[in-house]
Amino acid sequence: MNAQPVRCQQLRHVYQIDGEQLIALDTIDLTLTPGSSNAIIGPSGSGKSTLVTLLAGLQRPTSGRVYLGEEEISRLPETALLRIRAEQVGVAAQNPGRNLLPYADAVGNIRFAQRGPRSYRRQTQLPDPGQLLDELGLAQLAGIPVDRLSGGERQRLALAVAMANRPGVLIADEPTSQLDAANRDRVVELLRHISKHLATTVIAVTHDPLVSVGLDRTIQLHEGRITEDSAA
Amino acid sequence: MSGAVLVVGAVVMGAAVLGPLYARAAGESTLRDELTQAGPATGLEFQDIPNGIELTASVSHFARAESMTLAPGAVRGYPTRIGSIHVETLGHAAAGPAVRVGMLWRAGACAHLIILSGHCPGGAGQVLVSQRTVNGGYGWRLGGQLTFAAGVTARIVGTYTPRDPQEGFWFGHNYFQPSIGVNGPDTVDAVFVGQAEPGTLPPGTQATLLWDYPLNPAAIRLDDVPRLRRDVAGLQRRYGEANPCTFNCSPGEPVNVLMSTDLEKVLDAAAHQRDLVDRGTLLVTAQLALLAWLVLFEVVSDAVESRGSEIALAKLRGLRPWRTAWFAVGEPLVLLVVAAPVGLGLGWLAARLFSSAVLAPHTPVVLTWPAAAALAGGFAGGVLAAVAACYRTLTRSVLAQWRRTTRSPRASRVGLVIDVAVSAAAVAGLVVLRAGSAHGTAVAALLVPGLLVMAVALLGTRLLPLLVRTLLRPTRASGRIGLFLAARQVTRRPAGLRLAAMLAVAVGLASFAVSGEAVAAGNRDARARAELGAQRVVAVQFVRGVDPVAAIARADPDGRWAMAAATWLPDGGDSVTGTVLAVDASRMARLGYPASGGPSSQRIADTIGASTHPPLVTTATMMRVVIDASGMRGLPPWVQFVLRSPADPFLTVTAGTLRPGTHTYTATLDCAGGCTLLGLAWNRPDTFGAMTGTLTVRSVGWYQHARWVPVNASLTQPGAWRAGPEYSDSTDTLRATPHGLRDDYQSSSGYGGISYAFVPQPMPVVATRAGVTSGGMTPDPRQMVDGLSTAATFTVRQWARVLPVVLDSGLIANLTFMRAMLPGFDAEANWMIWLGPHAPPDAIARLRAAGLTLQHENTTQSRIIQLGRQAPALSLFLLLACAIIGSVVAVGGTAIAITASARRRSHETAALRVAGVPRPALYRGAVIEQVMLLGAAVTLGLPAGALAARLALPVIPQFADTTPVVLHYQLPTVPLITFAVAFVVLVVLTGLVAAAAVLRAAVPARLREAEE
Repeated sequence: MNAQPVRCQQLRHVYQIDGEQLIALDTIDLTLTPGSSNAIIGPSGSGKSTLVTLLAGLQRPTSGRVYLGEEEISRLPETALLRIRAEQVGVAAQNPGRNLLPYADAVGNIRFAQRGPRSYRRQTQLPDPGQLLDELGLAQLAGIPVDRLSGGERQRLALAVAMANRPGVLIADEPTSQLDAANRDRVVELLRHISKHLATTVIAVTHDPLVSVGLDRTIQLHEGRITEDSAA
Repeated sequence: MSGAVLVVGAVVMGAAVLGPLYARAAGESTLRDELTQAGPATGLEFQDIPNGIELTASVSHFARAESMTLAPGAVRGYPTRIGSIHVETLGHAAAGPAVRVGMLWRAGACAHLIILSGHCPGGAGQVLVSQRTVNGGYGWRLGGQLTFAAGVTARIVGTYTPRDPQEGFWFGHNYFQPSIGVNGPDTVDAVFVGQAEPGTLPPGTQATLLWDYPLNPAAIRLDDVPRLRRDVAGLQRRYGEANPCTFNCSPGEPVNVLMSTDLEKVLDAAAHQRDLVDRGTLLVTAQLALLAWLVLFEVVSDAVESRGSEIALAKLRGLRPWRTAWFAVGEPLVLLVVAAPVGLGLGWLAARLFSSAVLAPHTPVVLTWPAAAALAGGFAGGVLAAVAACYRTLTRSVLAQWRRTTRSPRASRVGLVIDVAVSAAAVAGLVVLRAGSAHGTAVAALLVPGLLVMAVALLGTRLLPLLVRTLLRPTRASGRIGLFLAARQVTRRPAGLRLAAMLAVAVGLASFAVSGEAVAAGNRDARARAELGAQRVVAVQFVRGVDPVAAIARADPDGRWAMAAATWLPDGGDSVTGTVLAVDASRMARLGYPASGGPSSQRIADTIGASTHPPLVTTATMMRVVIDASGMRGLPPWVQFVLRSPADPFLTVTAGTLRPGTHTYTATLDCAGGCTLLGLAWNRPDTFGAMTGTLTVRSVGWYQHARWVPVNASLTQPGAWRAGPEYSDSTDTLRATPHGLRDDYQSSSGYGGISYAFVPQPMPVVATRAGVTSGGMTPDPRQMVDGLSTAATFTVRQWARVLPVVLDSGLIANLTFMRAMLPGFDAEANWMIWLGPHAPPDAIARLRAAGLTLQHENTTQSRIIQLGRQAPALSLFLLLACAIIGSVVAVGGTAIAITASARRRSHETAALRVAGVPRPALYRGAVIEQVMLLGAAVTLGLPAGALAARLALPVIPQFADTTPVVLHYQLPTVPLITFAVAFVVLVVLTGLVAAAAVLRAAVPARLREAEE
């Protein structure tokens, strides 16, 4: 899969909580170029994670549009969104436990992630798990069960699993949370590697400004609005 | 969790299979019991009465006719054919009176007789006679000669007593029922002869040719019944057409064999029982299966919920919906596939266990297609539970799964609708129960308890959070953190409330079942006691010369463990429509059981035994009376003692001719077996003509132990003697004087006398309304008449709804009075011995040693077992067993669910610990929470089950047939309390273990771990 551009147009999302409206995102306009690595940063409650879920098709925006390549995904039915997540978008959720089967090893987790595209009989060949781990410099994790991996290893494995189907877009939510500096750097390096060598548009949501340093573009969110964009 | 799914899945399928397996086995058991208890009624009887054929010919006719009957084994269940030739004739010993006797040849009879002396007839002219006849005073003796009709003679080569006249071999024929003849010869037990012997009797003698086919109940299974019905119906068509041979029949003429049987009625009764079992079993096991299904739903829900994050991951990776679904339910489904054979095995084992516990011995438990269908249904139910449990998790979005969104408002609305529907169904069931009748009521009676406890459980657990919420405010500001946390958890945990509801249903059903079984057991006991009258009842063959009452008195002189009783059907009198039970009133209160709903044994004894003068019974060798006679006109009569002995109901012993002045009249007695003095007669049998006079009986005495003993005959007491009612042509006027009893007698025929009035007249009895006639042609006073046409007058001193043995149709009278008043009673009655709980182990041996001929024995315990094998009891037993299994499953399901929730709640609890809440407070909170939930289940379930029992039990059939015995439905306190205590202990233990599990999982490190 080639790297995909990602575009948001007048994107708005409002939560209804106890009868009150909470605006999470407010008229976001954003275009991410194919193969770029992007950091979306901001404090807690700024709307980072909401933006990630909208880009991943995990929920629908209240208004506005999200495009993946030329396809508007914000209006697609659930089954089409499943296929997009199976083939075009890889997601590494905030908590590594949400990305990995705890009882399987690295290879098993990658194979599990590859069940999605296989179920759609995708013609393009999927990478061999071992080869993928090797490509990402994680070959040493291959046979180790997840519950014996360290936090940093799990985080990196989560990114590898998200890349199991060679998606055009990788979305990583707080990929460096709970990690020490060394592990954080390894993860950032991995993101950059994915962007540059695997032809993938990388979107990393983080509250850690140091993560953005290593990536191509930094977009800052505050109270649901883009307050700063390094590309602007 | 996988193990839990496997176990509960196996229980669901086991419960589903158990119903059909048990129903089938119970059907087999009730069929076998019905067939066994029906006795000869299930047999086939082929009969040929060749009227007019010479008996010699009839013997050869027998072989030809036998060839026309059914070959043994031709119809399943009838492997044996017992042929017999029975001829009614007269016979007498050389110096004895003529008696009616049945000359009987019956194939293989000697194997069913106890040969007391000699041997079986082995050739022509030989007969085997009963010992009872030998003892009967007819002059029969071993080696003696008997002469039958037309001078045919035979030699007595042996004596016998039947091993058991009720034995199936005898097919219910009355070969052993001697009786005293009215205006004719007595009837004695059958004499056994060789097959050719009846042919020696003169032509015209009535012969009955019989071929009996006793049914072997063990050979008949339910599957055989349709074919058996067809075969027997075919036989009835073939042999049912009566074409009696006329008087001119000759040996060459066609044989007219007729067949009769009551098998169809018995099979109909068995089918009725099976129908009851099927219906009851279906309803009972459906409730268990439903409960187990709910537990399975909870367990599978927990199993799937524990994989919620993996399912979310599958969705995140874009797996197709069906692949995600398979990912979620695949494991439970595979486990259910594995659970199916395990469940089948469990169900079979349970059915086998129940079968050996309550069904007829050796009842087979066989796998049938309904069981296979039930297994498939159970599996489908399990799959449905798995799918339903997965649905919520599968339809939840990835984000909702990550956020662990609680129950949706829609699900809450569905839950409310279900609760309202169940409550409405319960109310409707209650209305049907209170107002309905027959079939609808019986079905409702088994369904309503389940619905009622479900409604109470569901509504109660809805109210629980509202009640507990009131604790929030007072505990929030107080230092009772544990109580506060517990209250918070209860108010916000729908899963906990579901568990409480499920447990409450289980407890409710169990308490209903415990009540039902205890009530039914009590009623079975009451019915068995009423039907038998005593703890053990031994049938006695009455033998002339052996007084059962005297024999029992010898074996048990203190009256601690044995008493005599007899049932009797009067020969006439137009007053009694039921059965008469005569009991030894002096022992009744101690040894007899009352019938539930009737008077107590003491009350019965007091009512029927009200005699101010004791009977005068003696074994003396001589007796004397001192009489002062004067004013005698006409030829003087004889002075006679009127006695009754076991050997002779009309024992009249002459003591000399009455003479003027005071004289002593002495007679020799033959009273070794015990004689009862009935009165004195002034008899002049040989000379007719009037006689009058006055006499005073001054004293009576008997010679015993080598000396004369004065008899307290109450001669000076007014009312102790009366004019003999049987002396209808005499007018004796009695007056008690200080010198003795004065009698101014006057008789036109020369027969007068006085009776000792130890029998009140009319005789007091306790009767049921249906047992005696009333109004219309009923004589006043009422009377009953024996086969000798002797009448005994009686009055109903107390009416009863139901009485022992005779139940709602009969009366109870004093055995002593009955024997005194009715000379035919002894021989006509069916005698028995009632044994009480204090009977020694060698009671039977002692009674035999006392001279009694004992036959079969019945016990209340065996009757209770019989009643316990009737369809309603089997259903109730299954209900109890299923309810207990259900309770265990529910408690197990609760433990599993708590363990699962402990894992889910570990983060929260760990956070509280990190926040500084002390561990003891957390533990206390967890314990209080579990006790609140599980305690609510007990608090709701127990009264709901008890209420259901109170409402439903009176309309649940307790027996397959009706009984007049009054049944009771009071809730049993002890079993209910025992069950409640046991369950509370279980609940508290579960609460403690669950609380510990919650705390154990809640370690602070949990907060650093990835969420599962």
